[in-house]
Amino acid sequence: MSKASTLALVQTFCGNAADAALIDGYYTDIVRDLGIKQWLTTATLVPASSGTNEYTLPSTCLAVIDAIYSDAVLDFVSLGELESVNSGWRAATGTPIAFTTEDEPAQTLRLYPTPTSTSGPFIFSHGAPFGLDYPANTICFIHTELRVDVPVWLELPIALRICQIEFVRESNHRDPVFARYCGRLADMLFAMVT
Amino acid sequence: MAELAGNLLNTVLARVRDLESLATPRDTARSLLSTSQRFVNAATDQVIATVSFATEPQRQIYPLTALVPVCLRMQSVRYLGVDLDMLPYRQLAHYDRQWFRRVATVPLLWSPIGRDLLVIHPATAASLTVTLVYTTVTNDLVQDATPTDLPDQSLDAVADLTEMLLCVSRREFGAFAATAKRFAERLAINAVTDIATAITEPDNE
Repeated sequence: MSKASTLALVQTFCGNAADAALIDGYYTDIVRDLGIKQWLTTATLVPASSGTNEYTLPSTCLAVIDAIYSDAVLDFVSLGELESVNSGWRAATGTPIAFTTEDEPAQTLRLYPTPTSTSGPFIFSHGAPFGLDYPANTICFIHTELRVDVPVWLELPIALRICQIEFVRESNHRDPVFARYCGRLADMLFAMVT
Repeated sequence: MAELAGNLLNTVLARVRDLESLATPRDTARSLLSTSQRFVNAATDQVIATVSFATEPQRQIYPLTALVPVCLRMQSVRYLGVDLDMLPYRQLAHYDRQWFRRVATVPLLWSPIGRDLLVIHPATAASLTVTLVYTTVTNDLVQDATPTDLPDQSLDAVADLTEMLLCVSRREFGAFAATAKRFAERLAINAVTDIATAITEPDNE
């Protein structure tokens, strides 16, 4: 309901003047931007395979906060750092200590060195994948994620931000002053929940 | 005794000269009042709630949204009545690269990751009961007879914020400026005051 109620709030706020198709897109853009603020977070387990160093991130992943292999946090490193440490890093094998996303396809990251172990079975007999059932040699991604629905307390600042974008663009209902006030109110509300 | 939503709403509607709710339907105005209360509480952390929950053996990372859907911000985690230390997640990961699977007899600290994940570190071999203390999402003011959640001294700020929202939706920017100034003074929180003051200043862009 959150997306629908946020978009309804936009129309309430601007007297139904906003373009319904456009504000739908603005909503998605703003929720995507929230990924940078690291508010909407989750953890995902991904099985590792011996000899495989490329892993696909969940499709909803916006930004990786941390990657953990087995029980250790991996360092995020740049391609340049990997090259300087080991020019043959792509062929190196062992227990992963770092990862990079540079020079990789979207939603993909590469572990360094390539794991030599395969994860234990993803069978969660206790119903506790992050506890008693945590499989050995597994990758845990902690990341921000794109969601259709946001928490109820984000609805108003997002609605105001949408009004800001909608009313500053060239259109028959353009109103830069209204847009400016909406934008600053959104800033203030975001500051209040930070 | 808590103020009723209807009384506070009448105050706001009188200020914006719309006691008959002709410009804005009363339900819509009450919904904005409800949201304003939520944001004032977010800024002041006055309505706090607690919930007890049993940790899972060997687990440190919990989905906060599932545990406490009405949590707006974590305040503390208590074990046996003692507040655990809070450590920002970056520091936890820096301080112990192998924090994820550490097991001990008692938890020592907690760390939020964004708004949705909670780390209680280290894990324990057996389940324990801890208490989460959090700033709650205040209730929706669904009717005029619904009591407000915030103490009376904060309701002026709620009324101000609602008035600001109504003024902007009606493009009454002149009235907005005075209310924004008053709201900033009442709340006296630097980050909010700076923006609330800036709202009324002309753009340099």
